[in-house]
Amino acid sequence: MMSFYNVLGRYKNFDFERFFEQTSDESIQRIIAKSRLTELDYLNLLSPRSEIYLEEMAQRAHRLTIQHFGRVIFLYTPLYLANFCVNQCVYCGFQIKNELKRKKLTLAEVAHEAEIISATGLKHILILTGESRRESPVSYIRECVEVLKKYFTSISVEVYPLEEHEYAELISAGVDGLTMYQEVYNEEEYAKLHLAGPKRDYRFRLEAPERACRAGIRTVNVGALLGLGEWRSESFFTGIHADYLQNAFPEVEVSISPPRIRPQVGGFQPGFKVTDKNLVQLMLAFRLYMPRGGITISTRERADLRDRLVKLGATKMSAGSCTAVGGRSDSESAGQFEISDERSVAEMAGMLYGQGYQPVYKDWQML
Amino acid sequence: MKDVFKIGGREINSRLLLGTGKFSSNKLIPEVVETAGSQVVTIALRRVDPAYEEENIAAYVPGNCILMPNTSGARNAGEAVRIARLARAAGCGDWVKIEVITDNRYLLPDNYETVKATEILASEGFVVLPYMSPDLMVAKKLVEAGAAAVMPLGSPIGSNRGLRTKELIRILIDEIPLPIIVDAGLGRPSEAAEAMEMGAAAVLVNTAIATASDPVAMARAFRLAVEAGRLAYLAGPGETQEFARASSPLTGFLRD
Amino acid sequence: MKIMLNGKEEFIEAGMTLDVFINLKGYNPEHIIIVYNSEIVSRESLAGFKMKDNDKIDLVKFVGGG
Repeated sequence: MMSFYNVLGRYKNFDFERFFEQTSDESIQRIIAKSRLTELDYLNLLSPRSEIYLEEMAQRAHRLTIQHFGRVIFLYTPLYLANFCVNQCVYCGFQIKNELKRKKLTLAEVAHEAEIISATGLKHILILTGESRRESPVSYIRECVEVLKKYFTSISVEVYPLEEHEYAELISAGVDGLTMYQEVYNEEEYAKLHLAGPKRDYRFRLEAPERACRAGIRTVNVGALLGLGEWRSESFFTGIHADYLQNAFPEVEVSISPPRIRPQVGGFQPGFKVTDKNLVQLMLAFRLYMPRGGITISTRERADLRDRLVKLGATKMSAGSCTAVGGRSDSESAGQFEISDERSVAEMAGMLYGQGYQPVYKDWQML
Repeated sequence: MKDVFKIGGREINSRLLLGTGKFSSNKLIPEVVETAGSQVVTIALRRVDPAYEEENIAAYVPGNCILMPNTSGARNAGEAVRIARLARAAGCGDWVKIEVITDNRYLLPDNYETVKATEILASEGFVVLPYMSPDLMVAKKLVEAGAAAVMPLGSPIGSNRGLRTKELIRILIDEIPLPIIVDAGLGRPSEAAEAMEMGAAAVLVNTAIATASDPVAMARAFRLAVEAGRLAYLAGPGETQEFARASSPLTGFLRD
Repeated sequence: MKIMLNGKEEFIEAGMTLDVFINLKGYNPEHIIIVYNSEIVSRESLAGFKMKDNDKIDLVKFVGGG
């Protein structure tokens, strides 16, 4: 099986501007009605010209989402385990050059946070660390998973890229999901934004989801951090990455996240603007391209916008989030970025019921 | 733009593949092949029957055609491999249609044995075209095994029941990066046209032409249908529009 | 001696060569493919080809097929 790195290589010198100039209203209308979109159909829907068809795309995306997922939104919450980091990513609050209190949860603190979270009813958790194989090695993550297993039925990891056998180790400890953002798929931009540390290895990160799939992970979630690169091409790459994974690993549940960059310690200004309308267009285009693909919307987005996105293809949302290590029991600590939707799990559930949707706290548990 | 059709690296100028079984007389075959415009023609390998001396079918197939022996009669991968090797040794070239059938009631192919035979023959340098029941996972395994095309059935062999497996074949066309050739069951030119409109790379027809009252005329009808279907596919037919339904706008809140 | 012809037992004179055997059976070697113990035998080598006890002979040909 060809690596996604090689798939992406086909678009190395692709002229997106020129492609967008050549789109036509007829082809966009035809694509919106198609039952199976090609890669380039998807790119058509990401074009500036497609913006005038957003409502048509939205109606279809809404129906497709209900058809494949029902009127439900899966809820999860992130739990930051450690913020030690050896990388110098210019946009990240946890990067090595930033002065902040570095901390790593003890196993007792992990259990304490888990108790606070599980009191809200959530059964799905996403655990995160910075990249430090010394402070938060795989063995530490595994020990945390062993604690969390007692509280949660689904544990996903969003940690530095691992080797296949390390993924296998975490999976056997109880991890069933992987979130791995490539941050920016454009390789030159990637090099400019990741100044130091192991994260400079673009390909090792890009191929991490493949390694996790080979190791037997159940779900993978990929995405680009929107604002770091030109959003239309970055969304295109995210979509074809998801499609590649779904083809190569038909047994894995594949989803994307469209995280827009948020203010953080360090004050980085993103180079590319991504408006609400842009965000909606990429969600709709992806829904039409991969009707069964998941779309995860985090608390990076404002409450009023998230309420609208429920009917625009979203399938999973975070709730009651906190991006600081130990932040649920200690409010002093600085987070990775500022969240926009501060609502509690109960408030989120109320909003969903109000729209005729059911919040799902527990979707899955290994028997 | 030229519409190129390639199998195993070779450019093929006709999307109608033709079978040579069931003709009332082999003498019809040259005219049928010529009228159909076919370039790939299937034949079978049999033990000789001492009771009567049949003619050698290959003599009736125009010399510019690719002879594609099938492995009919094989009940498992080992037998299919043996037949393919014999056919090649007998001067038939590298092309082979794998056909493994263990079910005599419906004549449905054994996908599992077909994958095994494909893997072995592809590794021996054959251009392998496996005949199969349309199944996405099996088709993916055939791709990995080195098949040159995938040939799903439209309905059981010789049944003339048409494109009954349409939805499954559509999935193969969408998902498999090899030519999809609809083989078996196409009884009428309109069904061949339908397969081609959907995006099938080609069709293989035998019974419908061989058993028509006028096989030559039917060969011409299939040729035209295949060409028409292909043209329609390339022309990009308009999608069936969903019925408009009153619903509240979902994107009205966007202002920027 | 005993040989297997197209999957069936046959008893023939020991030491018979293939060309004689094919003739005896009434086949024209130009029209058939002769497979001897899973190997194709070329028409040119039929004359000197001595058959042995328990050998397997398959006589095959191409026919119409889909």
